[in-house]
Amino acid sequence: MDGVTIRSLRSVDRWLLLLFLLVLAIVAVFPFYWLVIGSVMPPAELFASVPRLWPSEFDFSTYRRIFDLVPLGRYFVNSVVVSGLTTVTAVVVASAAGYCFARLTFFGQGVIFALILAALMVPSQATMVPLFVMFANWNLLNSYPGIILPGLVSAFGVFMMTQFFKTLPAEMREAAIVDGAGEFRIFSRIYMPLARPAVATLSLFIFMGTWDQLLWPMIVAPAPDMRTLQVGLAFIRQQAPVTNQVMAAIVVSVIPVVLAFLLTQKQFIAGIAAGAVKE
Amino acid sequence: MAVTVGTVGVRPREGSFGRTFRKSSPAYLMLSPYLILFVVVLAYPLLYSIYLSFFDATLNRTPTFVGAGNFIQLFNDAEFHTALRNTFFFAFFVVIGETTLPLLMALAMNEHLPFRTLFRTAFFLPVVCSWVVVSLLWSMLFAQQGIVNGIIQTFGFAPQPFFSNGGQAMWILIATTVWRNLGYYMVIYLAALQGVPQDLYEAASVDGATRWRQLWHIAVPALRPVIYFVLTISLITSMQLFIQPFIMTNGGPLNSTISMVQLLYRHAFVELQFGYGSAIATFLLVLLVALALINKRVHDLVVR
Repeated sequence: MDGVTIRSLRSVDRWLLLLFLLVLAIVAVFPFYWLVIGSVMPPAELFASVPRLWPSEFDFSTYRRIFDLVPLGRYFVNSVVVSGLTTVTAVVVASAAGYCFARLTFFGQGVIFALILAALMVPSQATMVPLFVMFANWNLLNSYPGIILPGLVSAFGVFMMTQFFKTLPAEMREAAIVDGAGEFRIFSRIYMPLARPAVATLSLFIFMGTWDQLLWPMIVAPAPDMRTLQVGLAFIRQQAPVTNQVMAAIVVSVIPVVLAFLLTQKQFIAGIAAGAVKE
Repeated sequence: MAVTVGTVGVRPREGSFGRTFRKSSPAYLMLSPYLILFVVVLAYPLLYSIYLSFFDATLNRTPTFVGAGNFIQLFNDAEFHTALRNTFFFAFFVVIGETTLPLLMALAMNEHLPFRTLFRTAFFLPVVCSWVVVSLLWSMLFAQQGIVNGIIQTFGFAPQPFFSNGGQAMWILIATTVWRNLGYYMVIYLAALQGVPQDLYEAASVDGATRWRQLWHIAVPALRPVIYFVLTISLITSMQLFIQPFIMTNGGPLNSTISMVQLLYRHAFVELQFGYGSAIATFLLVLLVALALINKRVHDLVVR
């Protein structure tokens, strides 16, 4: 097949495709443009009957005001603590389990793995009522452990790490056993460091999922100072009734995430795609 | 399951059970954190939820057994019918949008057009935003005096009611959802497209197939498992619709956008009817497990 070039599209078709992508890209980006511009527009212009896409003057006062109205910093810290602790714990716990399923043999292995796979089908809403009742009894309402605990069980994580550890050679473990290493040592010193790509993908996956949550944190931790960013934003109109205040709050809350995305774009997108395809 | 080679060295013989057990102990030790959590926050609450769905229960009161009462009430509940219908309507169109549009985008992006990186960034921007943010943003876009009505009026058309019209409100929820996920599914398709062997295209080029025909007859069939994967994920997540109507419409106007999970939330956590709420949760569980199983059967037929 040497020297064969794959036919490409005629140039008219290429222009059409480019136009198609361009229109969609504008649809994707325009709401963000309007969000940012709207947040620095005087309210009268934001609601003008002839829409304005550029303010007559920039008004940054909303950004000063929004921090007085809404404790965005507190919400943000809560979200970072919840998502961070969930990610680290869930990844470590799921990796240890994945190692056991991939490299060890033990009594009940098949049954337990099947149960975990079955748990993939369970929607999170199906356990919320009892969890709320249990956590109310255990005094876990409005606490970090209350928000975090249900998120620590990642069936997908166990599945993914099992698959990954199976791709690593079993001989490494056997050699380490000859050298007298115990299973935990083998897992933490040999297998875990080699699992960095899988761990990164899983961490991103769990972090994004936890960061995004609304229903459970809203139910278990409704107290104003325990709200995560999503819960705070969901009720923002109670504290910041004016539209451009809401816009400013959204901009502030989205900046760290968008920055993190833009700085690590390549790995970020690759991680998302890898995580999804392994699912 | 995993194959392990027996440990090196001679060990005293013992009964097969004792051996399995001794061999098992380090595994159980490392598995225990996960297993304990699994039982406490997943398996036990799941069974408890099914159990509760046969009781009349609320905070600080002993539950009373009502048999199938909650389910009978549920199946006669007009509001539940509405929620079920809304959720299916939403899921149907979201699934269509999320499987087809990103596929077209990925095919276009795969053609080595200029500005691809820029396009990818643009399409991915909504994906990194949370559902709450996206819902707030779109509720402002389509507000009565929002920018969309402004643009419509600039072109001389009458302003639209949007969120005060049930039909329009539902379509805005669908559009919001598809919009936010376009980039996500596009990236998945794109990753799969790059795995299509180039020599298939080359062979087709030799045979004189145009690029369009190559895409339709080679690329799209090769992507069948991924298309099916996207469809599954899209369906399962759509059935759990909550944040968009909670933020954008609060289920209104007149329950025209209320979803199943939203109804669950109202009964269980606003009115604290734990029994009735659990019945809705159990129904959702059965529905999603059934969908997953049907999906698996269809998958095995279609993909293999």
